[in-house]
Amino acid sequence: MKEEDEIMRKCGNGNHFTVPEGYFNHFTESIMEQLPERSVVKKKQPSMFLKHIRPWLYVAAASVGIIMGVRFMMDFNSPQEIVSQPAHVEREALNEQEVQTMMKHSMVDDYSLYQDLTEAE
Amino acid sequence: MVSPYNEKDILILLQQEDTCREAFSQVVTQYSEQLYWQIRRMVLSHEDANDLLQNTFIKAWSSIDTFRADSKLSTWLYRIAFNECLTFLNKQRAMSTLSIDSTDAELANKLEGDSYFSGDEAQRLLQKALLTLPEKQRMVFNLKYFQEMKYEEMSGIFGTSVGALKASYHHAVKKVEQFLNDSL
Repeated sequence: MKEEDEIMRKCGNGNHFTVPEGYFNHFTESIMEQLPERSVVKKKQPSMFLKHIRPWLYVAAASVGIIMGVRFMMDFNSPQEIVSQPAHVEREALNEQEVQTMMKHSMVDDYSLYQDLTEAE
Repeated sequence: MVSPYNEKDILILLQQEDTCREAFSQVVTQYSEQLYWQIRRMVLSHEDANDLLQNTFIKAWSSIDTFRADSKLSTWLYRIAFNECLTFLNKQRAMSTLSIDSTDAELANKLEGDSYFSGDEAQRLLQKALLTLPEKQRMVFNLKYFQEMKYEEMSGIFGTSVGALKASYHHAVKKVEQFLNDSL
């Protein structure tokens, strides 16, 4: 037994509404006369060539992404290069006389210089 | 010879400028009657139902580009039609100075003097009982009781789960039964 049987028994489910004669016969014609002109906006279809190569493009893009990612991680983990002035540049710039003058001003005698250079106690 | 209605073909024809008008006229012929009866059961008067049916197709025509073929064309049209009904009924209610109950009583009285209603006292009473239901519940009841539409199809129209629709129909049946028992 269906839940609506009681209502069905009392009232039925027939359609008791009616329409003016010929209403449905003329409806389509009448509605079509009211419709404005319409220009169809065509959806741009991708070309067949693009359709075929699209999966490969995705693969290529993903590979480039992975390679760049790995590269970045490796660079990030390795110690930074220390950019320093080459030692010989400084050496060339100082001549013997200048060294003597500097030593005089810094009050370093030959013995203490010897000690510094040889790290002797 | 007129070829039988085929939704797949119709959808293709609707996308082409030279055939879209003819295809749409086939859509109107195919669905106007079933949509009309559902609208009519909601608004009761033929004049109002006629206006709303025309609005439904005019709206469908102007927004056919937005129709996505992931649902059936009929589901989409029912959705437009029911939205039109809800807007109409809400407007009518807002314009009326009467209470909600009195507005429904006024609708029921319209039915009494309607020359396009041929039902007897029991069927008139059933229409009065249906007017006591919330609009969406009334739509669900009408689709199931009079048109025997499947809950799955209704689910596409209302965007509601099958379980919720079953519950809605069950409540509607109980309320209508109660109304009929009190009145007869």
